Amino acid sequence: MSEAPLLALTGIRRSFDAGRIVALDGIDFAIGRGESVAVVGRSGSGKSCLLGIATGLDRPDTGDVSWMGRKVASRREWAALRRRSIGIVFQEFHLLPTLTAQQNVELALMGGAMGQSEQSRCAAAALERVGLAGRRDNLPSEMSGGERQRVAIARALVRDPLILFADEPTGNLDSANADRVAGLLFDLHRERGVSLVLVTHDDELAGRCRRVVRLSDGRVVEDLRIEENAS
Amino acid sequence: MTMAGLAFSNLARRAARTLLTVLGIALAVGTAVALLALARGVAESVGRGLDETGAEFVVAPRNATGVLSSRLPESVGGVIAAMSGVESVSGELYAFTVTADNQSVLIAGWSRNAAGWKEVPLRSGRLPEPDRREILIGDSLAEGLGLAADDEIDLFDETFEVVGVTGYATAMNRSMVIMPLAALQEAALREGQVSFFTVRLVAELDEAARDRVRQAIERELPVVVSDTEEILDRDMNYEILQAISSAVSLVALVSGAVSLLATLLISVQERTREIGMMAAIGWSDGRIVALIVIEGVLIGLAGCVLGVVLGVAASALFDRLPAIGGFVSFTPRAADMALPLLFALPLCAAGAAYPAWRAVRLMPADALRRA
Repeated sequence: MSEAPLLALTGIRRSFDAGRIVALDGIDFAIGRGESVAVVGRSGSGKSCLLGIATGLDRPDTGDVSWMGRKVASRREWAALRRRSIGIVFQEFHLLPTLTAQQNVELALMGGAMGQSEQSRCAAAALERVGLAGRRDNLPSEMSGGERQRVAIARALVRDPLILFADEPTGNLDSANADRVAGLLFDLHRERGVSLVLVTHDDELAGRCRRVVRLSDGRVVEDLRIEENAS
Repeated sequence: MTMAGLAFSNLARRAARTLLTVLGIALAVGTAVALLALARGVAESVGRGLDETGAEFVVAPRNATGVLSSRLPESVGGVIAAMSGVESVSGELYAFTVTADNQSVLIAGWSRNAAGWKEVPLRSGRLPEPDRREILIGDSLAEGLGLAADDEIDLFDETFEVVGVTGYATAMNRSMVIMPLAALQEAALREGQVSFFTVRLVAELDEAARDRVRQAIERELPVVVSDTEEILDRDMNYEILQAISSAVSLVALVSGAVSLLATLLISVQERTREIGMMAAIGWSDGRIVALIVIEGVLIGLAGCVLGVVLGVAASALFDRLPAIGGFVSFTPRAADMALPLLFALPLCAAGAAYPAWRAVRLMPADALRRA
């Protein structure tokens, strides 16, 4: 019997404005362990909406989302999954401006069984992993865009998720910082076996993934596996 | 980082707004503390004032609405005096009037045999003669009116001679005029009437015997017998004052909670995306609600502490103002502070709960999309 995919979306439909705008229209999509997937498509094709549904940040009108073969429905279940197994990186970083880099990463660890010193140690290790060991006590306003995005990546990875979603992670960065952030994401994918799902407009970034899923008008129009394209 | 630390950081980010909200709650709590201290101060001033003049029990009409404005026939005193165990009975009449300077003055008229005459703490002068228009004046009032022994004062459109200045300890007595009962009855057109009787029982009686005497008085006459500290328990004017104090306190506290609600609503609205981010990194709805409620409780706590300080300071100030402190003692006690706090903190938590609920009502994706 084949292993259930990490995350599976079945018959997903999502519309807005009382059904007048259809963002996703019958999406079937699964992500396996250790995969790197680029979700591409034009603006308005439903990429970010798909990420929202796949991470439980949004709720489909119809269809199911399963985690390791088990349907996930309630907000509580989704919060627990995002806490334990799903990391998300956004284009706009979403760091709290009054908290230092270290504290922003610690946010993801708060409320669990972990003691404060352990939280602090884990957050420091995550920042070190993204090359920001020396910037732990800096506020976001004191950091460059690339550094802020790396703090956001550290925050997403600090709990060792099984899957990492990144929504246009390099969209707000200059090319040097974009390269560095992309390199970091693929290093983490390779070293830790984290499944990586990139929502991107960037063909070069998408080309580094082993699978490219193209959306158009809310439907999957292409699902290409590129075995020879080592990431 | 702790939840309280994060909540504090969120509040510090909008320091001016947080401080204004704290001030709003502080004013509400301070108002409540001062009003409750006022209500208690009135009761204590009257009770301790009577204690100071030598009263043990007070016998007042059963259906009177206010102890100082109640009326009993003076002849009832003879019936009480004849009862076994009663050592002395003294009729006392109380009336308010205004001086030529338009200052309200409480006048006490004491019968000749009143025990209080023997315990008057005279600062200067002498006691009034029974059948003359002579008065004693409290030192606080004397100072306010600029009077001393041998001066004259117009009361009830008649001229009285100040023959002595008293030095009582309680605010009520320090601002009170004392004159012979007959003089006040005549001046106030209350001949043959007293407000109540103060009674002393034979010293040798034990507690049970004293209770029996009290019960006998209540059985024989249409009166109630109260300890001096209980004297305002059935006073409708005092009940109205208490009700007004409680109502204004409650309104003040609710308005404080509403200002907190408004502050947190705006804060939550501004932080919608942040709250979406917290959900995205795995914060449960309960944890997000807890964070916002902690913010509300932190503001509430700061407001309560500052409010108690303000209330105590305002009370101390009122106590020093002759127009207020001359009549009532304004010293807040722990109970005056505990009651507003018992109301304020749950109100603050409740005020925070609605914004918190609004914060988690949205799907995280919607929250993250908000500008």
